[in-house]
Amino acid sequence: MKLYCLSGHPTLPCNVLKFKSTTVMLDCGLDTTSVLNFLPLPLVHSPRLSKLPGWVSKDGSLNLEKELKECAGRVFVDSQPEFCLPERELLDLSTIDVILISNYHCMMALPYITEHTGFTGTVYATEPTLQIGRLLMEELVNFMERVPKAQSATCWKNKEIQRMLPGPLKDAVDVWTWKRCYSMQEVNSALSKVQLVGYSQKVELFGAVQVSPLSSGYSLGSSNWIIQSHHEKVSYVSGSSLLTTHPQPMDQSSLKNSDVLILTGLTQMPTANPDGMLGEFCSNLAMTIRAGGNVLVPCYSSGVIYDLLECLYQFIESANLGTTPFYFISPVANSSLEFSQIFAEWLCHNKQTKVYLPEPPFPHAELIQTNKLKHYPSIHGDFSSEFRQPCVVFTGHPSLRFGDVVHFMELWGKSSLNTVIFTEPDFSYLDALAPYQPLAMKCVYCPIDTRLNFHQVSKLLKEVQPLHVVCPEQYTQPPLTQSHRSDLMLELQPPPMPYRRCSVLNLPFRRRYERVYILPELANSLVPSEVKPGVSVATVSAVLQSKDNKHTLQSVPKAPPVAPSKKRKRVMEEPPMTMAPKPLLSGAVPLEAFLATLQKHGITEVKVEETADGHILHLQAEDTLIQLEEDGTHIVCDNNEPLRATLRDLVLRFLQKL
Amino acid sequence: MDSQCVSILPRVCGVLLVSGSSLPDDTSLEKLLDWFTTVAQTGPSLLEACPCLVDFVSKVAFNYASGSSILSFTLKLTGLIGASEDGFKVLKECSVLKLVFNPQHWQEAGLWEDPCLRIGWIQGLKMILQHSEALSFFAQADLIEPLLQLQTDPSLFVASAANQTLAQVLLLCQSLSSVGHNGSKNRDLEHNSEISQLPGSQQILRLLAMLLVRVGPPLRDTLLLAVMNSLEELVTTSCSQLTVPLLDVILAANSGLRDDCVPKQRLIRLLWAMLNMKKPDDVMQAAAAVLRSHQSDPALSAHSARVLLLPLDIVTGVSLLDENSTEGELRILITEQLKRKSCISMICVCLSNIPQITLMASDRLPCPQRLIVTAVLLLLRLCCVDSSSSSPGCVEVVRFITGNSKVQKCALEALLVLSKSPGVKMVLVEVFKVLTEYLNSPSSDPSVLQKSYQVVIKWVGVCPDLSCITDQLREGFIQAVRKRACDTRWEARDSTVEFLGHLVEVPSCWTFTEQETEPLDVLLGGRRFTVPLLKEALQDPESYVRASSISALAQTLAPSWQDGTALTQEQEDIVAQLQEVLFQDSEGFARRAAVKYFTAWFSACSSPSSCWLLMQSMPTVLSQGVADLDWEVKLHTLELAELLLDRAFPDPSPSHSYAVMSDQDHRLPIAGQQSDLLSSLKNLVDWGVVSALLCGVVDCDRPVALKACQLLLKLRGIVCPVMDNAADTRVFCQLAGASVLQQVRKIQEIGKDTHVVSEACSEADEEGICASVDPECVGVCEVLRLLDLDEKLSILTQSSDHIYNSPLSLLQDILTAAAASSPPGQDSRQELVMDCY
Repeated sequence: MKLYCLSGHPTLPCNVLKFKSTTVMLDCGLDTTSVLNFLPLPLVHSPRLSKLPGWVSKDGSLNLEKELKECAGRVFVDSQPEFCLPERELLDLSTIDVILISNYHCMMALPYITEHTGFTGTVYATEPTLQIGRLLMEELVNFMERVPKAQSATCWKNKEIQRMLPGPLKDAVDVWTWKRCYSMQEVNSALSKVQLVGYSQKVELFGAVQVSPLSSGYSLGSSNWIIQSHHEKVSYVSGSSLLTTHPQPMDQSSLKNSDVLILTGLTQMPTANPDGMLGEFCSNLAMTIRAGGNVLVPCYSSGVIYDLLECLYQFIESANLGTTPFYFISPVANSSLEFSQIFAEWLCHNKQTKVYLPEPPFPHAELIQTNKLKHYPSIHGDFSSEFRQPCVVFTGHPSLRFGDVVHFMELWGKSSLNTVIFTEPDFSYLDALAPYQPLAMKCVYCPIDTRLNFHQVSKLLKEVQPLHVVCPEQYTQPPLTQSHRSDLMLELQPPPMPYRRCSVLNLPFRRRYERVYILPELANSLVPSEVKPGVSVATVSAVLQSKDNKHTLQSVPKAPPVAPSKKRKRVMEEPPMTMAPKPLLSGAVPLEAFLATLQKHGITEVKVEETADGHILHLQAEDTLIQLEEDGTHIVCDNNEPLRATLRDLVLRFLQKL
Repeated sequence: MDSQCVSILPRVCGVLLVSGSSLPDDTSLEKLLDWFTTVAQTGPSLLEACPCLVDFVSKVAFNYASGSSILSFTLKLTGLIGASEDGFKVLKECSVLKLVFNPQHWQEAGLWEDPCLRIGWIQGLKMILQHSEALSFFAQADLIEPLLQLQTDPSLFVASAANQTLAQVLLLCQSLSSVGHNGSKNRDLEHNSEISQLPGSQQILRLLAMLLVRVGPPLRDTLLLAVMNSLEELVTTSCSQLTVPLLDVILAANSGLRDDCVPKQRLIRLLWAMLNMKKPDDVMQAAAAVLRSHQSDPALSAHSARVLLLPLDIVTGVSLLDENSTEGELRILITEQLKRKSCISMICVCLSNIPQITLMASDRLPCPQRLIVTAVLLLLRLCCVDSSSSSPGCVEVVRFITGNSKVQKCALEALLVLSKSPGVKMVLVEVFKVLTEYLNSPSSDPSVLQKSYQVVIKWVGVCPDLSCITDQLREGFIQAVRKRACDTRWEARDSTVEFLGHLVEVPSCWTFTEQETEPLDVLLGGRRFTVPLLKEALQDPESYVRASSISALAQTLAPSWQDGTALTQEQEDIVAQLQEVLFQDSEGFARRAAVKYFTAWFSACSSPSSCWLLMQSMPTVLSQGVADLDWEVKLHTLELAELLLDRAFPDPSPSHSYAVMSDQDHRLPIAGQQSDLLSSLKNLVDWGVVSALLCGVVDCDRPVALKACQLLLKLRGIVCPVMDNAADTRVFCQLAGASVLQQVRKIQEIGKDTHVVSEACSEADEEGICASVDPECVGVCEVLRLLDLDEKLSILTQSSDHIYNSPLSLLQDILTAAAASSPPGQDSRQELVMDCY
C-alpha cells in the first residue's frame, strides 16, 4: 500500500492511495497562494496600478520592466494570475481509477487532473460539494475571464533569471508548472465525471475495496472517507469540524478501528478561536460603521459567509446597525444564497427542522427580504445605482488579486475610516495587502477557521484509535512563529508519518488476509471435524477462481466421461488416477505419555535430548532417532522398516486425523 | 410577653404532646424555640413566663411515643430552661434532668439511633452548660464519655455539634476555674492527645483549633503540652488531608503565645517541618497559611515567601530567588508538578499570595518587588493566546496556562496589588502594553477584560507621571477600548463602559512639564472620545450596559457640573435621552440609573437654580420616577426629592437668622420668614416634589411609602408651624395618582365626621382642599395636617411581615393545624399520607 503526495499544502491536499489494485486520488486541492505574486486585476482602469514602475535589477543588468512591476518595495508579476497545481509527474494520472472529494474547497484543481491527462475514472462527491464547488469554479473563471490580459509573462520563470529576482519571487517553487485558470468548458467537462454519493453510501470499486463518505461537519456536504476492504480499513480525514455551525455534525464513530488514518485539513489558525474571531469581526464592523466608515470583507462566496451573515443577523439589531446596508457581490451570489437553503438533508439538525417550517433554515433569507442584505453579480449594473455608504461589502476573491474586491480596495483604501476585515484563513493578509501599499484603510485580521484544532484532533484520535496516522509534515512540529507552543502539534504514539510534496510513503501495514468465497455445493461436501471445542476443520480440494478481485472456491470439475473411442487406447489419455488424499494430522505428541507407550512396547533405553524446537529421543538399543518438533516428527531408522512402522503408529496414536 | 400567648401556650403544649406530626410546617418547632430563646433572653425567666413548660418536658421525657422531632425539640427546650440557674433547679427537683440527658434512657428506648435526637441531646447539653451547677451535673452524670463518642458520629452535624459542645465544656471549666471538675477536663485532654486515625483526627484537630483561639493562658498551655507530641507525630507522617486542619491548629496556638515560651519554639519547629514536607502542594499551602497568619518569626515568613514565589520563578525563568538556596529539592518537585495539568492551581496559589508577600518588609523579601512585577508581567504574556513571547523558564507549562482565564485573573489581581510597590513606576509602559494586549485579544474572557480595566485604573491612579504613554501606545489602547465597546458579549461592553466612568474619577496627575493632566486625557484623549461612546451605549440592547453607561455619563460630566460650565448641545441631548429611558425603558436597571443621574447632577451642581435644564427636567423626572413600577426607581426618586427639599429648606445653622425651629412656641412667626417659606414651598410644588411625596406615601411598596412619609413629616415639621398662623398661605399642588386623592378625600370625610381636625384650622382646610377649581388640586399644608403621618410612620416602620411572624400567629397556626387534622381526623390524615406516597 502506497501513498503518493502530490500537494504539500496541508489544507488543500492531493494524495493518491494505491490499495489492493485500485488507485484512489484523495482530493485535488488547488494551491492558489501563488497568485499573491501577481498584480491585482482591476475591474475598472486603475491609474495607480498602471503607473507602477517596472522592475530593473540594481546593477541594471536585468530588465524585466514589461513583466515585473514594483510596488512599495515588492515585485509583482504583471500577468494573468497563475496557480500552483498538484504534482503531475509523480505518477501517471491516467492510471487513477477514482477521485474522492471531501469538500468544495478541495476540488478546485479537478479540471487540471481530469482534462488532458488521459483520466478515464470517476469522481465521487456529495451533491452540495458538487454544486457549490461548481459555483466556486464558475466564479473563479468569471473573475479571470472578465478582465482578460493579453500578456503572459514567462521570462521571469527562467531559472537563471528567477535566481536574481528579489524575494518572495526568488523563492517560489516549480514556477514552470504554474498554470493559468481553466476555462468554463473544462470545468463542465470535469464536473460531468462526478458521480453523486450520500453520507454512508457504500460504493464498490472493482470488487476490491469499498469507499464511503462520512459527514465531516466542516461545510455543506463535506465528507471524510472510509476506504476499506474486508480486512483493511483506511480513513481519510480532511477538513472536519466539531463546532456546531450550519453543516451536519461530524461522524466520528465510523472512523474507529482504522489501520491507517490519513489526517489533513486541520485548522490553519490553531491559536484563533472561531467564536472569539466572530466576536472580533462583529465589534470591528460595528466600530467602523459607527465612525462612518465602510467595511470590506474579502471572502469566498460560500462557507463561512453563511455563518457570518447569521451572526450579523443577530448582531445588527443589538448594535443599532439596522439601517446599514450589507452587499454581497459575486457572480454566483444569488445561487450561493439560494443553494444553501435547499440542501436540507446536509444541514445540522437544528436547521433541518426549520426546513419543515415556513421560515428558511438560514436567516440570511430574512435579511434579503427586509432589504438589509442585497446581492449583485458584480459592481456593474444595478449595484452602482443602489450603492449607499457607509456599508458592508462581502466580495471575493480573498487573495485580493482578482474579483470585485480589487475595486473596493482601490476605492476605499485611501481613507482611514474604512476597514478591511479578513475572515478567510487561506492567505496571509499582509501579503494580500502588499500591492495596495501605502494603505490608509484599517486592516483587521479575524481568520475564522472552524476545522479541527490540535486539542480536538488529539481527543478524536484517542477515541478512534487508528494504528497509524499519516499527516502533512507541518503537523509534526510547532508553527515556526510559535516554536514554544508544543501544544500546537500532533504528539502521538507511535509518532505520525509525515509527508510533504512529492513524498511516496509505504504505508506500514501488510495485507495478511483475503476473503475467499466457497460455493454452496462445495461447502456441502465438507466434512468438518472438531479439533478443539468450537473449532472444526475440514480439508477442501477445489479450484480457486479469481475474477474482479473476488476469489471463489469451486468444485474440481469432474473429467468428462471419455467417449468410447474406436481408436486404440493410449496410455497418455488415461485419466489421472485420483488418489484419496492422506489424512491430515494435527496435535502434539506429549513427551511423557509417549515415553510410557514406548516402554510398553519394550523400548526402554531412551535418551531424551532437549533442542530448541522440541526433543530428540535416542533409542539406543535400536539405534534410532525420533525428532519431535513443533511442526514435524521425524523417525530416523536405518533398514528396520517394521520398527519404523511401529514407531510411526505409536506417534500417530497421539495425533488427530482429519 | 403577650398575655394572649401565655393563655394559649398550655393548649399548644397539649397539642405537641399528642400530635407532634401535625405541625403546620417543619420550621414551626424551630420558630417556637427561637421565640422561647427571645423570651428567656429578654424576660426574667422562661419558667416564670411559661410555667407549663416543665410539665410538658417531663411528660415528653416519659413518653417514648412522641415523634423524634418533638423529642429533639424537648431536649433543646430543656437545655434552654436549664440555662438559667433557677430553671435548672426546678428541672432537677422534678428529676427530669437526669432522665432527659441520660443517653442510656434513649438507647433503651431505641431512639438514640436517630441523629435528630442525638443533635437535640447535644444542643440541649450545650445550652445548659452555662453555670457551675450544670457543670457539676455534667461531671457527675459522666456525660463526657458519650459526648466524646459523638465526636466521631457518622452524622457530620452531630460530630460538629459535639465538637462545639466539648469546646463549651472546656471554656466553662476555664471560666469557672473550679477545681472540682478537673476530672472531666483531664479526660478530655487525654482523649485529645490520642489523636490517631484520620477521620477522627480531622474532627479533633478542628476542635483543637476552635479551642486554642478561645481559651486563656493556663488552660491553653496545658492543652498545648498535652497535644504537642501528637501534633509532632502528625506532621511527620504528613497526610495531605490533614495539612489544612493541622495548620489551623498550629497557627491558632501560635497566635496567642509569647515568643520566648517553650511551646512557641516547638510550634515554630513544627511549622518549619510543614514547610519541608514532601508534597509541593502541601508545602505551598503551609507557606500560604504562614504568610496569612502574619507570623512574627522573620525567618519563617521569609522562607514561606520564597516557597510561594518558586513556581513563578520556575515558570517565567525570572530569577526571583538565588539559585544556591536550600529549596533545591522543592524546586525539582515543583518543576515536575508544573508539567502536569495541576500546575494551574499551584500557580494560582502562588499568585494569590503575592499581596501577602508585598506586605513584608523589604529586607525580608527574597527579591525586589520590581522583579516580581516583571515576572508577573511575563507570566501574563505567556498566558495571552495571541502573544508569541516565550519564557526562558519551564516550557511544558505553557500549554496549560495559555488562554487559561483563571491564571490570567489571578495574575491580573496580583498586578493590581503590585501597583503599590515601590520603584515599579518604571514598568508602567510594560504594564500598559500587556494590558492593551489583553484588551485587544479576541480570546480574552469578559471577566479577564474587567480585571484588566481595573488594573489600568489602579496603575494609572498611582503613577504620578503618565508622559511615558506614547502616542502609539495611546492609539493602540484607544482602538482596543473602542472595539470592546462594540463587543458582542454584553459583559465586555459593560466593563468597558464602567471603565470609562471610573477613569474620570482617577485623580489628575502632573506631567514633567508641570502641567496638570487628567488620566482620561492621557489615555483616551478626553471626553470628546468617551462621551460619544457612552451615548452609543445608551442604546445598548442589554439593560445592564445602558445602566452602566448612564452612571458613567454622570461620572464623566460631574466635573463640568461642578465648574458650572455652560451646557452643550450634547448634554441637552443626553438629558432628552435619559428622560426617554425613564419613560420607555423596559428594564429597571436603566431607569434607576437615570434617576441617579439627575441626583448626581443636582448634588454636584454648584447652583442648580441657575441651571435651567436641570430644574426644568425635575418635574418630569419626579413625576415619572415616583410612578415607576420598580420600587428602587421610586426610592431613588424620593432621594432626589429629599435633595430638593433640603435645598429648599437648608438645615438650620447659626449663620441663618431665619432658621426654622420645630418648636413653634419658642419663636414668633415673622412675616419675612413666612414669605420665604412660602416661596420655597411654591418652588417645591413647582418642581413636583410635593406631588411626588404625596404619591409615594400611598405607595404599596413599604420602603417607598416609608421614605415618602419621613420626608412629608420633615416637610410638615418645617412648614406647618410657621404657616398655620399665616393669613393667606395656601399653596396648592396637583396630585398625580388617583389613589392619593381618594385617600385624602376619605380622610377629609372622616375628619368632617369625627371632628378630628381642630376647629381653628378646619375651615381653612375645607376651603383649602375644596376651593380650588381643579378637583385634583389640594392645599399642601392642609393635606400635611390631614394625613395622619405619625400613625402611618409607625405602621410603616414595622416590617411588613410582623403580623405573620408574631409568636401569637405561630401558636395559633400550630393549634389550627392540629385542629384541622384531628376531629374527622384520622381518616383524612391517612389519606393524605397515602397521597404523599
